[in-house]
Amino acid sequence: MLLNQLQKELFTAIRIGGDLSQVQSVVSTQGLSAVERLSTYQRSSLLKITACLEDDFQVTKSFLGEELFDELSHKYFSKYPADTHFINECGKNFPFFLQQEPLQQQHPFLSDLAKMEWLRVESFFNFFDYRTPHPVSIDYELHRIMVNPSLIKMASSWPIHKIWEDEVAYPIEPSELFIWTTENRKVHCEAWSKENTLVLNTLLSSGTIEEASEKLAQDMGVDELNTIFQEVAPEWVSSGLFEILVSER
Amino acid sequence: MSKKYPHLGYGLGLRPEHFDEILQGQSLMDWFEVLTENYMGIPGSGQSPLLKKLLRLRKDYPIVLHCVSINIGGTDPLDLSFLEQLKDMIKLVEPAWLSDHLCWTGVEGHNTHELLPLPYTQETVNHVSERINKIQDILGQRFMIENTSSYITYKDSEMSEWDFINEIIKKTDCGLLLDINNVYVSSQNHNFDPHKFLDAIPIQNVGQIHIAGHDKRENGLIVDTHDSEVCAEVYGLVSYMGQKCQSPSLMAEWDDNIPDLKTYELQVFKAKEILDKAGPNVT
Repeated sequence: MLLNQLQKELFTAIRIGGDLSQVQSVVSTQGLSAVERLSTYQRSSLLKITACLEDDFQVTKSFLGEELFDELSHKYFSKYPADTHFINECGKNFPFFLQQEPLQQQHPFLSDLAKMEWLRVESFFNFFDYRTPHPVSIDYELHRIMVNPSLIKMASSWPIHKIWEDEVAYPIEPSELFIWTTENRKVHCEAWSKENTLVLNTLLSSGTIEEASEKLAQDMGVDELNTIFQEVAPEWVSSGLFEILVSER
Repeated sequence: MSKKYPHLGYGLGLRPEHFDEILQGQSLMDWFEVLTENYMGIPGSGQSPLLKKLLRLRKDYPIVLHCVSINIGGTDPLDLSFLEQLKDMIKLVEPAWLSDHLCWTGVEGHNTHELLPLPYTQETVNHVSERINKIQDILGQRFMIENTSSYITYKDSEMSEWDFINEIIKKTDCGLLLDINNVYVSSQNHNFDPHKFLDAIPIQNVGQIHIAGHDKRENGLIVDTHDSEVCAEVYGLVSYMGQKCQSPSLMAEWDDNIPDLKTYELQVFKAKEILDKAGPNVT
């Protein structure tokens, strides 16, 4: 058997739920069948990647329960075998996989919950890009906005970011979730009212406070804008969403 | 004649659990080996806290990079972008050397995250040797391969594992990371004399030795779990090696149920004591 054929045969049997007894290339010896020998690899391979998935999707697992989560993990890895060198990336398709599962109809927020958990992982790693050199200073005074590079946004109709809180009936309404990581390696997940989200998004997409104010003044009154700036913006800064840097003269 | 690898002394496979203690100077080891992929795969150009710690440690200790996913025996083309990332790691960490396992890990773009054995055939010898030579060209340095433990053998195999390793080393002059626990595990799973393995390998190419613990399953298979103390039989083989040659750099691995640093280091001190007593009959 050619090496490539042998590897495809083994891969199918070990990783994507093929029938171990159909493997032609492996010998049964010392009273142990080829199936018994191969199952050692099958178990070990699945254990490693399932442990990784459990780490990254702890809330989803807790919601589904261990048995169902295990069943779905096995199905997921058969459908989406790992395709990177890094085992910590093996969960990247799990939210999409859940979206295609019949279970999603019963729990319509399920794939959003998994997606939020995955984005938390990505945000955690993105944070390591932080502390890059500050922008080159310019020759007039402006309030520059430096966005936390770990920030990731996702849209959801479900209040999934409140899942850690006590059981409360939150309204279902479209919202934008902001996921970011701070210096203490804490990952935050938050959503704000429609008006505040508009202000925040404008700040994040503008180079300076002055530029953002100019854009926002066209959509809302100066008083309303001032209120948001005074009441919510300090919270955004203190929670590490962005920094305001005053350019040097 | 192959150039000899430097003798680093006695080391450990570095685990994140022990990082801080070691940085605080609480280790008696001479050097450390790290699993390369754990320090890579970080999106963007930033450095993970783990990599930052490794670079701090590098100021005080020699480091060896150990990979698990080059897929040396794979039939997919070598992943050149991954090898470029490895080159960046080599530049950053300046390891004493870099190694990976003599195995295959995936096919058709998929990764099993398992170290799967190869059939010991001339076809495989040629295939693997060509890839090792290419890796050595790309990385611009001598590469080291580790013998893996295995639970299966193939119908197509035409030679013993040690002949297979010898043939590859003849064609590539790569280094050999001799995992003595893997020799023992495979010898029990495939019924051969581990001393025969140790007698046959090209000693001059051995640059590093691994020792580790394993687990015996109910069906009789020994599984390379790295989750317990090194057993007497493996120390026996360390002693046997010690009588044959000056021991290369030796280290212990422990990957599951990881103990405190002192217990971990004890595995290495036991080997050192054995080697000090053994002394080579042949140099």
